[in-house]
Amino acid sequence: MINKELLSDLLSIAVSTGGDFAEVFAEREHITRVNYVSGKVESIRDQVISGVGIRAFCGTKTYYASTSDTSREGLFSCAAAVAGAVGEGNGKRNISLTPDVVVNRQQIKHYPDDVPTKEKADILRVACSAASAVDEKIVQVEGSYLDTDRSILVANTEGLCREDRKIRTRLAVSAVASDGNENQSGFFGPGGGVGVEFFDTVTPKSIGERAAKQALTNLGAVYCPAGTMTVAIENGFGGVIFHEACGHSLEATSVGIGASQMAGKLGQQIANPKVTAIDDGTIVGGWGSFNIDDEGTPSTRNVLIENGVLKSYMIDRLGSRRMGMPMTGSGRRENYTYEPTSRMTNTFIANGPDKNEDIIASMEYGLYAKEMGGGSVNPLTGEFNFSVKEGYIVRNGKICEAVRGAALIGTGAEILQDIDMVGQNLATGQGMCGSASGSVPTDVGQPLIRVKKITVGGR
Amino acid sequence: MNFQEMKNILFAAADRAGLKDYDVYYRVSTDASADALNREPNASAFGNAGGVSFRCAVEGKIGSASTECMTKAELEALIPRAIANAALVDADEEPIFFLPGEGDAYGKVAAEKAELPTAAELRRTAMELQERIYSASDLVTDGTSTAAGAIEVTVSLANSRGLSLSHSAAMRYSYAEAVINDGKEPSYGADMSSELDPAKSGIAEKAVAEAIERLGGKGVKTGKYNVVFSAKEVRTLFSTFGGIFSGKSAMLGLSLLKGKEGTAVASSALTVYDDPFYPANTMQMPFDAEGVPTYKKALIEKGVLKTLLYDLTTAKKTGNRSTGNAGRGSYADPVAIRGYCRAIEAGTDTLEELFARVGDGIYITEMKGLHAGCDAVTGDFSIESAGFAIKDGKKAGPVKAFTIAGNFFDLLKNIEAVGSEVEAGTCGFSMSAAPAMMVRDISVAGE
Repeated sequence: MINKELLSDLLSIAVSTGGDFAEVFAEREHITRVNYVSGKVESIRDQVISGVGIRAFCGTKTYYASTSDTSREGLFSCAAAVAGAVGEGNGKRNISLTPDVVVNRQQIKHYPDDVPTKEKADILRVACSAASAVDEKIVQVEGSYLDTDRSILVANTEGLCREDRKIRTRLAVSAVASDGNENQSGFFGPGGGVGVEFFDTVTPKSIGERAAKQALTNLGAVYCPAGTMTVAIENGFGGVIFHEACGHSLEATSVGIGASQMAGKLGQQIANPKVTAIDDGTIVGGWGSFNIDDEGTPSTRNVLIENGVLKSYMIDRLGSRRMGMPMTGSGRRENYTYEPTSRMTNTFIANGPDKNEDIIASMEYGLYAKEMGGGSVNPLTGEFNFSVKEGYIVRNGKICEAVRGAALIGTGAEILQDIDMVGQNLATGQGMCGSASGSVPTDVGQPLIRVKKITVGGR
Repeated sequence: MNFQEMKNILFAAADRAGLKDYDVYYRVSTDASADALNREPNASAFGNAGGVSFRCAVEGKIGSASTECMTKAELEALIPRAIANAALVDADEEPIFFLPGEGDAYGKVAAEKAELPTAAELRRTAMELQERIYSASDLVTDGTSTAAGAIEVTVSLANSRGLSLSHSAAMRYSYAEAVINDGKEPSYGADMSSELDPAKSGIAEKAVAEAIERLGGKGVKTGKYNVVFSAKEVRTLFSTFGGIFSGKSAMLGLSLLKGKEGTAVASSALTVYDDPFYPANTMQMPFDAEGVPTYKKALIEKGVLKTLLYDLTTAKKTGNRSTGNAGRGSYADPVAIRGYCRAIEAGTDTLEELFARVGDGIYITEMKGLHAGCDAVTGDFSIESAGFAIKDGKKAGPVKAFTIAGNFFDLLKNIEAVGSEVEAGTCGFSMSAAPAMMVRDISVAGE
């Protein structure tokens, strides 16, 4: 994207005024998004994102400039903006870059740009038609097909010079069911760090049908009762509980400045011994996987909690300086307009010792949360929330009537101790995580788990 | 490359391709910010990013393509991409490219476009906010962060019918987040302002006061409560459910306001405007993403739904006129319906009078996770919340760790009274303004 000599020159300018480190990040991404609503392919978003971000450090102070103007003058003025913010002077030094290649774990069969957009539109049509066909109560179906082809280049004053290319594909369908009086919705949106071959294993039809069935279930559901109860949370996107309740509090973004309830707790028993949690950016085809992060660090398999004991944080380059600990391949950003910070990749609770049927059978009364929506957290206090998209009341060990409209809330420290049963059907779900460095694709996951008690926000 | 050069390249290429109807939409922004943390400058950032989208009609269907890479070759490549995309779209309505006719006038933007502050000014603001926070209380600890920034955005739009528009607007902001610890628990408070001068904005002191006020928050008992939403949380709630006013959502059966124009959908205490020229808003917008003039309109007047929002296509399909509410989330997004500053009219009650009306209930001052806990299609919400108890008609101690649940369409009808003091604030680029409100019968899940 940018030749080596120019990269060296830009780095040299960026550290010329007293910075002790500089980095150039360049990216080019092609996004194709096909939108469907009301029986029609309605629009196509066909976008090229292209730009550069240059950053310098002085200790733990950071200086960042970004531009979509990638002409020679544009890049020099971007580097000069960084240098000007750091200070004054002209201590240019010679930066020698050593391009190297990291292991490519990507196994892409059909690159998105090799597949005609018409085929993508047809995939979407099949999924959405399948949703409409489930029941005549399905009154509206919206869907989107998305693929991205993102190339990045990172070079820094330590001589690092690496490139990577990341492919992602996703299909999301939301369906609305109506009985004439009220509307209820259902959603399913799986994806992967793979090409268009994704649909060889997950058929578009099954995606549409799952969204429609959830909408129908909710249409027949009563409002979830409110109060504190035992909750079983199903696998897949259910893993959002760990993402919100604990994951964000283990990011250097908050730990590194002391604004996390998890700061200073390495080696301590912070969770029930049945809980082992891992952030793994190396998973082949993972929605949140990559070969190198947006700072050039190779992705890692990072065991965060082992048998309830806190083992590691998720640390980017700045976090590494702040905390005096090694980087974990966690530096991510939505695009070049954002400075990177520590983020999750594919984060999940590992399989545990309990049989799934025993978990439901153990519950006298409670909530079985089959599908979860998103949520949020305040890492300082650990107070989190997330929403249940499909839920059922459990009575005497049996799954009973469907309930809707519940949020679950609690604090990370308590919930981790209260996860008292961990099942064995680990699966992941795909989401977009929003934080300081923008919106990035992250995978969440877990087997079926039981939480002894949690506040259920029904009515 | 400036917009004129871009336009010349794209128009020439479009003409060569034999296109008759097309437009070019360009958005470019310049921003600067400074952050401080734990009494030290922490980060400075600058950005300039621009993107252009080309849209054309081919055999009655719209196709578009966009890029941030402004070379002649990349720009020219947009035309075949857009043509190819048009062929894949299913459409049942002839695309419309707008040219103002008689009676179409662009409103005057009141706000002067201010110069962007310098990096040094921004750093000074961030640092002064730090000093003010630390000197406001001995309980302030690490993690206390402040920021100041500014952004200038220019939107340009030109089409094959001869329309050519451009508008620049700028906004500035300062932000303070105080972290405190009283030895028993951490607490936090945050505030934001469009004023850079810490002495005038007072946000440092407000953030500390909020953090202290929150200390020792207790749970609440599960049950039905009458509540007061703070002005900020009223804004948050109405922003989250803003999509219900979209004429397109209604047309598609995705808004329960469908067919309700002219009928009462809310308590008569409620009047809501969509106002592209809201006085306190520095990001005023005289034209929409299709070039149609924008104007202020009542969405709900004394509880009655007056109009939904329309772009050209949805207006034609539903037999309405465009309300000038075509928008684009980013330059690359397809045209969609968007509101401007949502401004809720003041009522007559002071905050204390609202508390007195409640008697015993809850004052909601914080809601989190609304992106997940609210469903605009159904109106259902279940949201993590915090605030203060209301006892004997007066504000009492802090409460937390509970959810509020209900249905937004019911909530609109259950508004008992509206506060007399309107607060305006920004979320991203969009400003909204609202007073506090008292609402009956909210389900609370807690202890």
